[in-house]
This record gives sequence, C-alpha cells and structure tokens, in this order.
Amino acid sequence: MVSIIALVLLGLLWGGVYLLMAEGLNLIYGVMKVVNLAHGDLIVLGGLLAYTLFAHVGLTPITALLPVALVLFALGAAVQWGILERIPLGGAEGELRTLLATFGLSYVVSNTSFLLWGGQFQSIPFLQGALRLGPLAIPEGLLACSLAAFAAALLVHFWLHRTIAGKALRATAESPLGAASCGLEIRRIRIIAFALGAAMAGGAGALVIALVPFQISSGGDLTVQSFTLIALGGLGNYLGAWIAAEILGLAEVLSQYYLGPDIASATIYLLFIAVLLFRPQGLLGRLGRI
Amino acid sequence: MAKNGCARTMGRRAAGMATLAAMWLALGAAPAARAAEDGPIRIGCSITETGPYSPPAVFELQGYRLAAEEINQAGGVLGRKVEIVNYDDQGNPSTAVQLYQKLIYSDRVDLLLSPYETDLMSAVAPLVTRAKKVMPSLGANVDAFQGQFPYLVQAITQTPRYMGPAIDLAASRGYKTIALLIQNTQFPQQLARGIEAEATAKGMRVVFKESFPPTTTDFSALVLKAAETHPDVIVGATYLADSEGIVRAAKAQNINARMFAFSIGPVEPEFGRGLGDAANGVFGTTLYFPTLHTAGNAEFVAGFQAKFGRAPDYHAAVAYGSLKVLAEAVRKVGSLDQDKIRDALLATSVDTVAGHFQLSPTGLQIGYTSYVLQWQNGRQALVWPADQASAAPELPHGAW
Amino acid sequence: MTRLIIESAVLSGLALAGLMIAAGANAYVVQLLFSTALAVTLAVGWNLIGGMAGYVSFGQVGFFGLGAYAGALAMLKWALPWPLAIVLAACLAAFLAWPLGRIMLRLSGIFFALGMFGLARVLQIIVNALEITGGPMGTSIPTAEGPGATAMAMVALATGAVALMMAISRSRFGLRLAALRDDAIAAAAAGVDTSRVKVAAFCLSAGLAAAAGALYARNVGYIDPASGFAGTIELQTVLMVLAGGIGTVWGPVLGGIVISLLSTALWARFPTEQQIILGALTLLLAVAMPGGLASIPPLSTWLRRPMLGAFTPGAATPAPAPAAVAADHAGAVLACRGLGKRFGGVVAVAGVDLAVAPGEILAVIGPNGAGKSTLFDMISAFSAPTSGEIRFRGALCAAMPPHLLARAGIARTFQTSRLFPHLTVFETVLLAAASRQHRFRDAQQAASALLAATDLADDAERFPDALPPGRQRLLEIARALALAPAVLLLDEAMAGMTAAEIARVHAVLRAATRRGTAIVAIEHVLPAIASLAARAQVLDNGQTIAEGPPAQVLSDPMVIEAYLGGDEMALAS
Repeated sequence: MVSIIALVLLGLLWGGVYLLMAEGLNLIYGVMKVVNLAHGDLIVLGGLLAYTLFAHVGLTPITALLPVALVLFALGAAVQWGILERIPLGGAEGELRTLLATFGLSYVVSNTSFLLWGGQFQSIPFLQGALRLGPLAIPEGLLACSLAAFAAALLVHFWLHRTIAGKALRATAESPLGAASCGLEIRRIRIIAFALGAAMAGGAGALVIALVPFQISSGGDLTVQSFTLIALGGLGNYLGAWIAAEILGLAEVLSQYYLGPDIASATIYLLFIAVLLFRPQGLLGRLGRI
Repeated sequence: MAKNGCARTMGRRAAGMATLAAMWLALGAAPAARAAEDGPIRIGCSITETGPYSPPAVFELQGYRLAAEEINQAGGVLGRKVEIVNYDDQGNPSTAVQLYQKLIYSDRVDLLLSPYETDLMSAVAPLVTRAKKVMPSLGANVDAFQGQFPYLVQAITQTPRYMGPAIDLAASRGYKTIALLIQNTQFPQQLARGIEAEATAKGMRVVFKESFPPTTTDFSALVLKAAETHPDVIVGATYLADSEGIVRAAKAQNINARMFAFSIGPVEPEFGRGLGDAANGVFGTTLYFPTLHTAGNAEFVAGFQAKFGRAPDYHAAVAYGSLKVLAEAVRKVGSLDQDKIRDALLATSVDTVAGHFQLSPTGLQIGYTSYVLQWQNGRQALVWPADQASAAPELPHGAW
Repeated sequence: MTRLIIESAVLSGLALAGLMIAAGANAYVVQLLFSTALAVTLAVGWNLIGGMAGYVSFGQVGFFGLGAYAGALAMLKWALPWPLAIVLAACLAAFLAWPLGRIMLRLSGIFFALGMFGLARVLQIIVNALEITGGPMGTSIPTAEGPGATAMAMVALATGAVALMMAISRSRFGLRLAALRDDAIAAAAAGVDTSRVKVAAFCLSAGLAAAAGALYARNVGYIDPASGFAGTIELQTVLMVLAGGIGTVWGPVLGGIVISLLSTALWARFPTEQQIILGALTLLLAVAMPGGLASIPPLSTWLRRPMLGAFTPGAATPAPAPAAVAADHAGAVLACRGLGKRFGGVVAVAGVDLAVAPGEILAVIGPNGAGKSTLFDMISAFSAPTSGEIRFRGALCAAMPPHLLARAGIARTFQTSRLFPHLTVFETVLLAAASRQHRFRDAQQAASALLAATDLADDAERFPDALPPGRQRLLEIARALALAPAVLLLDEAMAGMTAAEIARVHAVLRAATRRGTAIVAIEHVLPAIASLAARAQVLDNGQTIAEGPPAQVLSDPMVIEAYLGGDEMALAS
C-alpha cells in the first residue's frame, strides 16, 4: 500500500520535472508556432553553466538560476533576432526552414558546449535527501523541481494575462496580423518570447542537472521528450502540458515498476503516436490554450 | 568501458558527420608509404581523438605512445624503431572500419593495435581477420574471442570478470543476497552474466534482476522494487550516468543496503563530483590503479606523469601493456610473420602494469582481473583484493 | 528528351566509374566508394518521402536498421545467398511500410517527423529485446571476402535508386507526388488518391533504406541496435538532402558528394570545430538558401523537375465526354436531401435540399456565411454531413473519399483558388485528365484539347503564379473539367475575372452542359452567373430561403431582406 502511494507520488513529482523542462518549448510554440529543435541543448547548456558556477564559484543551482537564465535569455534573444527573424514564417516551407535552422543551432550549441566542458557526464550534488512523511520519503530534489515547474507556470500565466507585454504576446499567438494592426511590435514580442523560452530551458537545466547527469549529447532526447509532452498536452496549451506531464510521469514510474523498464521506455513513444493519431489536438483540445 | 552506453545509443551526434569526412581526407592524404626493410616498424590504429567519446581513448593513445617511446629507447624491435600511425575515428564504427582498411591496404602498416572501445573493436574485427593481421584487442566482450576471429587476442580484462573481486569482497563479509540492476546494452549484459556466475560460485543468491534501457533517467521505481527484496548488496552493471541515478534514487528514497557496487561509474572522478557526500561508501571496479604493486607500475606512473602531466588511468595502462606484450612477441618470433606472432602471443604469460597477462587457446584473456575501489572521504581508495589494497574497505554501508 | 539523354549519360558515367573503382582499386578506396554510394542511396530514398512527397521523416533510419537485421538474419538463419537476402530485406520493409504508412501518414509536418522518430525508437527497443537478433550484443554476419562485391552492389543500388527517381519524375506517379506536396486537398479534388500515392512513396523509400541497411550489415559483418538505428545516419541523410536540394532528383546526389568533400576539408583543418561549422552552415542554409545547391541559378534550371509532356496544338481528341450521365428517376444527377452540418454548437448548414439535372445550370447565391462553401465541401466529400443524404446518380455516396467522387464525376473548384505552385498549367490539367484516362498519352491529348478550348494554350508551360487572377480561376475550371465531370461545382469561380474572361468561361460552361454536365455555381453576386443559370437557389443562415428562375428569385422580399444591411449593393450591381 505504501508502495503504490510512493509510486504515484514519485510519478507526479517526476511529471513536474518533465514539465519544468518542457515549459520553454511550449511558450515558444504557443507564441510562434515554431518547434525549437535546439531546446534540449539549451537545457543542457543551462545545466552545464550551473555546474561550472557550482564547481568554481560554489553557487548552488538555486542561486545559479538567475545568472544562468540571464545568459540564456541573451542567447535566445540573439538567436531570434539574428537568425529566426530572417526566415519568413508560415506554411510548410517556413516550418521546414525553421526546423532546419534550429537543427543547425542544436549542433552549434552542443558542440560549442563540448569545447567548453568536454564529453563526460556532469552533475551537481544538491538536495539529495528526502522529506519524511511517516513511512513515505519525498525526494527533496524532485520536490524542488516540481515546485519550480509550478512557479514558472504561474509566473508565465500571470505574465501572459496580467501584463501588457504578456497580453501582446497572447495577441500575437492568436493572430500575428491582428496584433500588428493593433500597433504591437511583433518583432520585439517574438524576440522576447524566444528569449524567455530559452531562459526557461536554461533555468530548468540548472535545476535538473542535480537530478539527472547531463552530457553534451543528452540534448536530442530532451528535445524529443519535451516535444512529446507538449504535443500530448496540445501544442501551446499550458493546462494540457501540465496534465500530460503528470500522465507521462505516472506512466513512466508505474510501468517501470509493473511492466519493467524496457517496456516503460516504449510505452511513452506508443502513447505519443496514439495521441497524435486519435487526438491530434492534444488531450484537452482547445481548452486551456494561451 | 567508461564511455557511457546511454549517450552511445542516443546517436553519435557529434561523432557523426565525420564518417565521410574521414574517408575523403584519408583518400587525399594517403602517403602510400611502403615499409622499407630498414625503416621503422609501423604500427597502425584508429583512436577516438575528438568528439564526446574521446577522453578515455586519448588515455589509450598516450599509453601506446609511452610504450612506443620506451621500446625505442631500449633499442626498438628487430633492430628497428617502432612508429605509431593513428587516425581519428570520432567514435564512429563505420569510420573505424574505413580507417583500418586504409591502415591495412593503403598504408600497409606492419602491425595493428586496437581502437577503443568494444563496439569499434567489434566493427573492425571481421576486416582485420580477413586481412590476417594480429591485433591485441581492447574489447572486453567474450564472444569475439571464441575462435571466430583467430587473429584477435584480448588485451583487457574480459567482461564477465569485471566485478568478480567486488562479489568476492561481499562474500567475504558474509553477505548473501544481491539485487542486480543492468543497463540493457552489450557490455553490462555480459557483465551481469559474470556477476551471476561469480555469486553462485561464492554461495550468494541473486534475488532481484532487472534490466533498463540506456535512455533511463528516472530510477525511482526500479530501486524501490529492488529494495522490496531486501538485498544485502545492490549491484549495478552500469555506466556513469545510471550509477549516479541509482545512488540518487536510493538516497532520496532512503533505501539502504549493506553494500552498493557498480561496474563503471565510481571509477570516474565525475562520480564523486556529481554526487558529493553521497558518493562516499560506494564501491566501484577498475582494471588498474596507480598505486598497484604490479610489475613496473611505479616506473609507468612516473613516466606517464612526466610525459603527459597527469596520472595514467586504466585505459592508458592496458594500452601500454598491450603494445609491450606485442613487441615482446615480435621479438620472440624474430620476424613480422603474423601467424607466428599470434602463436607467440597465445603462449605469453607475463606480468604487466595491469596485472598478469595470459590467454586461452582462442585468445580470451584469462589472466587479467579487476580491482575494487571505494569512495572514502571524497577520494577513491583501492580496497580489494587485500594484497593490492591501499585502504581497508568500509563496510557495511551506513544509512543515507 | 535531350534532357533524359544527358541525365542518363551522367548517371551511367557515375555508375561506370564506381564499378571500375570497385573492381580495381585497393580495399580502402573501395570502402570509400561503398560509403559514398550508401550516402547517396539513403539520401535519394529519404528524399522520395521527405522531399518529393513532402513528408519530412526523422525515422527512416528505422527501415535502415530493419533491413540490416532482416538481411543479416536471412543470411545467418536461412543461409540465403547475400544478394537474395538484400532483396528480401527490401521487400519486407516495403511490405511492413504499407500498414505503417496508412497509419503514420495521417499525420503531417513535425508530427509525422517526430512520430516516425518514435516509431524508429520503438523498433530499436524491440530489436534490443529479442533473442533472435542477439539483443544488445548484436550479431555477427559471415563477412564478405573483400569489399569489392558489396561495393559493386551498393553502386548498383545507388544507380538504381537514382534511375528510379528519374523515371518517377517523368511519370504520372511523379506528377501526383508533386501535386500532393503542393496541395493535398486540391490533388484529391483532381482525382488523386493522395493516401495511396504517399503510402507508395513511403514504401519505396522504406525499401531503399532497408536494402542499403542490409548491404551495410553485409559489408561491416556486424550489426547491433546502436549502430543499426543510429540517429546520426538520419541526421546526415537529412543534411545531405537539404544541402543538395530537397525534392529534386539530383539534389540528394549532389548534396551527398559536396557535403562529404566539405566536411573532409573542414575536418583536416579544424577537427574540433568541424561540427560547429557544419551546424552553422546548416543554419545559414536554412536562412539564406533553403533550396540547397540545386536552387543556385544555372543548376536550378538544369535540375528542375522535368516538365511532363507538352501542349500539342490541334490535339485530335475533343474535351473528353463526361462519364455517361445517368439521372435518378426524378431526373436529377445530383440530389441532396436535408443536408446539415454543425461545427460544435454552430450550425453552418441546416437541412438544405438541392437537386440538379444533367445539362442544367443551378446558381446558388447567398450572403457571406450563408453556408454555401460548406455545402460544397459536403457534396465533394471533403467534410462529412451531420445530417441528411447525398445521392449521385441515384446512389448514396456517403462513404466515398473525395478522389473517388472526383473520378466518378463530381468535380469542383475552390473559393480561394488552390493551384499547384510547382505544376505548369499543362501539368495541372494533365493531372486531372490522368485521373480519368487509363493511357497517359490519351490524358495528354485530352489536356491539350482542354487547354485549347479554355484559351490557356499560350500559358501551357507557365506556372500558376505567373498568371493574372482571372486566368488562375480559369485554370481551376479547366482542371475540374479535365475530370469530364457529370456534376461541376463552381465556388465563386468567376470572381476577379475580366468581362472577356467571363465570356470565355460562359462559352466553356455552355459547351460542357451541352455534353450533359450539370453545373452548380456558387456566386456571392448573381449577375456573374445569372445569364447562364436557368434556376437559382438562395441560402441564408444555412437554409434555403428562395428558389426559382433568377429574375423571380431576385425580387423575392426574403432575399432582399437577407442581403439588406450586409450587402444590398451586391444585388443591385
């Protein structure tokens, strides 16, 4: 009995970790309808930056969060301004070119990381203990990531719904043309959105590297995992992403326990394909879009 | 083996694009040098010099270089100097295949050395065999040395023996049960079979056994399930990232055992850096340690330190050992006749820096074994076997 | 024709050079040759589904791995001779790709790409878990004596792949692929079985990848899950195709060679930075040169998809006779009863009855949002009605997909014109004609005749973008007429036409009705069709509010009421 409760708890907490890593991608997709294939590499970059700040300056991941997010924000802004803005959006052609560009970017980011950090797995000893709740042990690291995911989701929600810039961003997501005709400067909004998405990816990396060791080639799988999650949730859908993350976390932990880890890894992909085929609009449909 | 299997399966991203690059480059730059009888003996190999998988392979290359230098200082082999001809395979098996083709048919090197690691070695094995070239191989897998590739001899500890001493240590403390967690890739699977055999031989029981795919990052449920069998020892047939993941999951869920031991993982310095205090008390396996009392080890460590500015690791040691053994075999034969060199190697029984080198009739390494290390106060200490130990093992593992 | 000769000469030259190297050079050079031919084969195969069909996949490596294992096991377990094992592997992959394609190709864009990635992963997990494949340990295969034979086979495979693409680009199948990539809906309306075409491309692509995989396994003599399903293979392939020119026949070949040379040069000079430079190059390519090398001016003309057929002046065949028109007992060829459509809570069409007899012209008018286009979408099977029934020649056509309906004789145009940017005017009409004519030559004759009749002959080799809006509309009508329809649905087909163009369209439509074609024409404003139509039906809020001769309908108070406020001027004009 304790075991099933523990498993569900672990599943929900890991769901939070997955959500944390996917939020930046979701924001960028929500605003620009662009899938950033370098997303995972930005997470890894954020993690490795946090690792360096820990190893050489002694900053914990939580203190490192702000500087790492700032660096990634600047990087994201530069990428959007310098590269992606130069590709006309819209249509299959625009989608292919953006995919291609971010695919190239992922090479640049991961291999530059290799020059700086080498190829070995790195991690940070941080929040490794557990909170005791009777017979239950709640891993601190997982809890911290889940809380951070929740906080980030709330902040983004607040920002999107309560601030001028955020409302502008939502207007852009609804209709770029309409937003432009309202006098909003779309270009700047897109730059901010991409930069923010990158900053969120980097921040997530800074926290998650304390749970999962990162290596420069980890990025590809993180991109796919994050994309799976937001596609399950319905691209750009925040509530959906959260539910999808919890489902993924639970499915992963429970199938690992009951069906074995090998099957667990295949279930996620099968679930992904099944949802794409039968509910292409995501789990929640139009509900909960920004 | 330190290369992480996880990253491996994920796709050799950074190592990728070079497949074709390697061949074009080599095509353009082929020196077409022909070995003159009085020129140096040319020894070829491909090494992963760049890319994410390069760090252990560079150790290997340095081991080869140091051995070659020492051989030359001692007057060379057959009165000729030796010279290493190496190319970068970027960790890509098909590139390695092309580079060995080049070494054999285009550069026409006199002798071959092995690439690192097992999958590169497995990829070039058929080709090397076809060309009837002897190759002391740094591939730990057993199946390549069952007679299928008669010109390959194993110059590294065979996989099933990797964790023998660790099991031996556990048995010596009277531990009875083992939970075995296995990464579902080539090396750990073969290793797990060795662990099971060793445990049975020592009167221990494997009460839990489960394999997980290399992409696994969350080990919570797996560790929880293992703990339900209340094992004395939790053993991981793993690499770096998954050993860390298992230790993290155990600590975060307060899952205790008397002993935690992993194949690859604790041997890497990153294990201690990534886990901090949680690393203390965890056991790992290595094929070599600078403090070993093996033949010529003190000189090897000093020479390596002087030449490369760092202490050698096990990749360097086995590579160094393999070239030394090969040179000795050539000396004994008195020519570069590959069949005779092979026979001489099969008859070799000699102590190297990595231990006692001896082969089965099919070229399987039956001399080399492994050593057990433990993280103690943030440092690795060699703790088993007792006659090589630099510190006493701290057992049982305390509560987290 | 000369172009075919030049291309064939280049291909045979390359193949011959390859075979000579394979036969004569030392093992190392032969190995290089093998890898180049492998890269070309994979790029060409990927381009078929990713470029020509427009379904970018991140999982074709799954078929490479499948082929490698199938070939290896056929050699090992059944002791098949290796060439046979390779053919078997290719067939197996193509066979499996059929059901997979039926499922996966319902996805598109990034979803298809990543769905395929997931599929390849699942395949890898399965292979990793099976006993017969050697699990994670992989399996050794009896090795070739030397690389010569496998390299020759690889060169032959690559040559065959390129030749196949040359043939496809000159075939009806190639034309349909090009149309599918440009606009799947318009292609279906032109009678193209889009699902079948893309699944066929998918199967061929899978077969090529699998054959390459089986040869790869034979050549290396060892296969394990990590190398059989390596993501890098996919990435390299995609990059080469993109660099060369996606969707072209020769782009992938060019890309394979150029990228290899380039990465070699980089590797020699900047071994550690090479990957970064290649990544940056990809970025640059995406931003500045999305068409790849094949889009550079002289090449772009040489490497453009070859034009299919040409307008033959004075083609003997007149526009094809419409499929034998049969009306139901009430004399209607098309009859809708109580047709309704709701989207969620919104009712777009609420119980409309509509009937048209052979040779009749019916005008359907109504203000914006009256449900006219939704009605057409239901009749042409692009959307399913939520209530009511449609009878074509007296038979229910509920379960018929759009392309079958188009072939059976219900053709349509679209409100906003949907032409194929990469098909010439002639090819556009030919595509539809080829849906009706079994022999391709007959289809070319029919297309020529139709172009002459619609006054588009001078534009035969132009692309739609180069035409003024009115002529684009005309082309769409010509495309629909090429299906020799029994019922022609025109959705505001004459919007934006000059008076001369309208007169031409009227003549063409009259000719069609004389052959028995029934025409249903939606117009926002009546005059464009009034002089032709014998009968008009007015829709408002999804319902019929008036019906009868145009003059009578226009004076109906309810009709005036419907247009008032919104668009009273439209009636007056």
